Amino acid sequence: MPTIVDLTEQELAELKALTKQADITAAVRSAMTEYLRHARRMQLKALSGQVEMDNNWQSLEAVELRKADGDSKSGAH
Amino acid sequence: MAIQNLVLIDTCISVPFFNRPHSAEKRAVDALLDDDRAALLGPIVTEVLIGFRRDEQADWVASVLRGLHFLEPTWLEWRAAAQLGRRLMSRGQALPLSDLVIAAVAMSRSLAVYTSDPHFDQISELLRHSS
Repeated sequence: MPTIVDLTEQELAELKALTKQADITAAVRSAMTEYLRHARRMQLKALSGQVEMDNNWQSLEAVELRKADGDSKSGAH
Repeated sequence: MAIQNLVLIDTCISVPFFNRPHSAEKRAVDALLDDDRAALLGPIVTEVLIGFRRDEQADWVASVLRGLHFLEPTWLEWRAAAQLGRRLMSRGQALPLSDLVIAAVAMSRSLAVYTSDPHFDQISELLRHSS
């Protein structure tokens, strides 16, 4: 979706230099992508203690290994 | 960012990260997030999201995990994972597919793996990240 953003010449020059993009559109897109990645990482940090993750990875892996072992002993494909 | 500086965060580290805000694992992952060095693979994303029972929590976690580097294994890395699996199997040691892929990608790209999973102790050449 197109949008119009009013930026000064200095802001554009800094944006292009810092994103290492010669093209203004690419520079704005790169800056936005990096900002979103950064914001998501900071939100991830803040999630600790707010959600509860099941400690089930070992049982999932054990099921996979038991299944593989059973298949190899029975000759299943 | 040199790709060699990335660290693959294994699923087992996510449990103390999410559940224990004062844990050493939380502090170590925070530092990697601040430095934009944290990386994931598809199988890790799936294992982490299986750990959340409520869909809305899993969706929210999935959204914020997009802030980390996401690595796609190449054809050669899948082959290397199989080769590693065969080698370990010949010694009577079996590893889950997810661990084989994590190890293969890490070794192929000279990345460290942050894990407490004892399965990885069987791969002596693997570079490990310590908290």
